[in-house]
Amino acid sequence: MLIDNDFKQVGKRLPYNVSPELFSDITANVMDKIGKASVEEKPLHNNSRKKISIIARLFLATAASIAIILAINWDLRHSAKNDITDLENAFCQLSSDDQEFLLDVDQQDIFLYQ
Amino acid sequence: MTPHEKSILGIIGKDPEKGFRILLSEYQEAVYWHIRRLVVSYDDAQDATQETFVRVFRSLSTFRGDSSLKAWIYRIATNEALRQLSSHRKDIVSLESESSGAELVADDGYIDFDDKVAVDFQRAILSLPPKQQLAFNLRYYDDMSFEEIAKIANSTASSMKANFHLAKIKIKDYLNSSE
Repeated sequence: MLIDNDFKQVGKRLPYNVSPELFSDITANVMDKIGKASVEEKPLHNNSRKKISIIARLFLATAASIAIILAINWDLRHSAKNDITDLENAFCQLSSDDQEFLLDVDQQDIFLYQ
Repeated sequence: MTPHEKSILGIIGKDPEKGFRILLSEYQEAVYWHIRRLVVSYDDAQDATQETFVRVFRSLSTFRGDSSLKAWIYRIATNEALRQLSSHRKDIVSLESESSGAELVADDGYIDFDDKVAVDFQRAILSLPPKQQLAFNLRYYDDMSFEEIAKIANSTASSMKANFHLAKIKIKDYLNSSE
């Protein structure tokens, strides 16, 4: 029984025991883990090289894909531009009566001007 | 940081293994007992102590010296103790938890149940919330200042002082009610 305000009765005594080898075991286990960790850290240099190589390849592949997409897109636009230019040229080659006729038809086209 | 702590770090800088062995021999026992008081179990305390020093070794380069080396190590140790306690529960045990869940278990072969006064005293401490346990243990057993305890608990000195005094009152009430 502990008297009120008298922690001195128990002091710093703990009801816990340890084996005699505990602290040497702890030291050995810790040094062993640290040693393994140090060894495992070394090959990281090779692993990081591999990672960089993979990342570089992915980057190049992505860059190449983007370049291809941009090239196709430019080609399509260029083709589209050519199509429009050809159409305009063809229209200009028509007689004025034919041009007026086409314009009339165009304006009466219910599918275009709803 | 004390000059002694600086010298240990200096040796580690020149010869990591030798310096770390010195650090281990310096702090190992105190850290073990600090953890044991929180987790109670012999095996859990050993596991948490070992994990503490492995983490200390791996994190030494991140130690900025804004606290003492001792406080920094104790902080890692406290976190490992809480992590160990959490492993036995579904929820995480932190300093803000209501209870730690640690108990003096009868089948642990490393508890002297014949020392009733000491057993009752530990039961009273373990009935406290983790933060109050920490404040009480570090002040009572490790003779730390409230400033140092605050660094370990990531709190303020005044808060840890309040936690310590609350802990003392609750321990007395627990013991008086269990008579």
